Amino acid sequence: MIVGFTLRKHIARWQRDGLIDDATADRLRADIAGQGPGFGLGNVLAILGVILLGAALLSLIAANWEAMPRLVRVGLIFAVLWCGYLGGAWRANKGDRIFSEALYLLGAIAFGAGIALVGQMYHLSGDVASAALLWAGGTVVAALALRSSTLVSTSIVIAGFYLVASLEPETASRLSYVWIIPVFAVIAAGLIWYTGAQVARHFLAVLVLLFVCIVHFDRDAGVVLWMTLIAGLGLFLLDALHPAVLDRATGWSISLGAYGFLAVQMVLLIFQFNDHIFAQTRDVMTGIVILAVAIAGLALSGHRNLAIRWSAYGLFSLEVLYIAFETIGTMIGTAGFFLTVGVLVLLLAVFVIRMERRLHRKSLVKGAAS
Amino acid sequence: MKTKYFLLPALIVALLQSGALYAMIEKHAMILRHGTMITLATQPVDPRDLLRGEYVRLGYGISSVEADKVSGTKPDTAGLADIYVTLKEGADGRWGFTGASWQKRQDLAAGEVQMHGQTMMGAMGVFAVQYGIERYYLPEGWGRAVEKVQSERGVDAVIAVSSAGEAQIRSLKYNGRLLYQEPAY
Repeated sequence: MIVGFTLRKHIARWQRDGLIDDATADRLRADIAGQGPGFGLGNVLAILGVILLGAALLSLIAANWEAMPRLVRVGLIFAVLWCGYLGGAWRANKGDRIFSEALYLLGAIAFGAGIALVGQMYHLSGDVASAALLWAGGTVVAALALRSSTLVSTSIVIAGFYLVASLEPETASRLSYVWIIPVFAVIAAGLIWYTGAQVARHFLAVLVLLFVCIVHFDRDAGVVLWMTLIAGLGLFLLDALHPAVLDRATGWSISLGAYGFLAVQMVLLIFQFNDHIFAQTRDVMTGIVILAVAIAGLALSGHRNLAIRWSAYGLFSLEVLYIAFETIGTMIGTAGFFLTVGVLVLLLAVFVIRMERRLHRKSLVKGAAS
Repeated sequence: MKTKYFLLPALIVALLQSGALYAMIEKHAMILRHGTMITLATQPVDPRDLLRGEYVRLGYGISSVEADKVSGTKPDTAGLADIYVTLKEGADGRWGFTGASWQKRQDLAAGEVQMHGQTMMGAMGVFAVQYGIERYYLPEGWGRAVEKVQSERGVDAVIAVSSAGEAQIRSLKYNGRLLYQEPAY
């Protein structure tokens, strides 16, 4: 475990310097060890190995390799699929959480490779999206039956692939993604709850944000942006003001608040982008709202929510520079512009440093009070 | 975490997924084995788009259907709609367009074959129809050769059409000579 490794180094140093006694150090080490495999290096390597094997399988199909008869290729896919699921179940029964998940993933990739192979065997055209949908559906069923958190992540990634494939104009029933992805998101959320998946939650959040962007730019729909803005603002405020409530309901308050904040930022930046493209005058007004949101993020959640803090810094800096460029950038020459930007960046640095001190004090006070 | 017995669920998942794959294979193999064989002349598609990766794109005379030649009630949808195109064998052995309908026709004349396609509604004048036979996968290195002869308008495609109207490429011919024949599996 990478985090555990660094932490163990710190514990050893504290122990050496006499900051903590030996008993405390041992208890801390035991606590780290008890955190389970989590996002361990072995876990990551196992999954990576399987993804590489799967890529080999998929490119074997993609090359339409004539040296191997089709029936043999079909047989190969079936063999890998069965080995993946049954082997994974065998490892799971032995209590092996790492290789069972890796083998399940191999099974899911084999299923996708099989779908691709059938499409190629019979020259099916224009159905990348429906093929991806079938793949995602099969993986959802597998995740449910095997209670596999890795397969939940996998199905979310495949759903993202389906979403992007839906944009290809050739595809049949092209617009179904507008309702399929929300339905899928609800199912995936249920699976995340059922399997206790950790990483999959981030995948799902990214999928939802990607979906909002795609619906907006593909369908030119403004309403989806407003809905996202309200939902994001709700999540951000709930995490900022009543974190205990959100945590009890989802167990994921900090991240949900951060993703809500991210959604708000994304929507506002899209508004500004649209304003910029269509040369409307609300440009600077949107900019001021964005600055206000960044400051609200820092003030309300900055002391306890690191993700919000850093994205707020980034947003604030970006926006200040953008507004400077939009308002005075056109009036002054290049040298003057660099001078202004240089001064602004230095001021931003001062702002961040002061803010960090304040937030640090605030988090100490809050931590002592609670 | 308590170990659970996962073998049975894994068996079910593996059966379901390989069953789905097998059903897909069988569905298409059935069309190839039992469908009516018709020959269509292919048309060169925009040459820049002919070869993408390992497949060749094929266009047909029936890929565009004039709006005033479609009979039946027009479906009230903004998206994709089903369309059925009727074909008849011509003097040169190639099959040609005889009519199109929004609904499946039950009154086919002898020697006529009906093919199911899909088209995007909202087009003016001409509908672009997709039958699922617009793509032909080739072994590595074959693409250039087929692309070359196809641009000379010499390639015919033999299509298997099931009684339900589903179409499937059976083989490609060049001046009556077989270029590539599909096995059922």
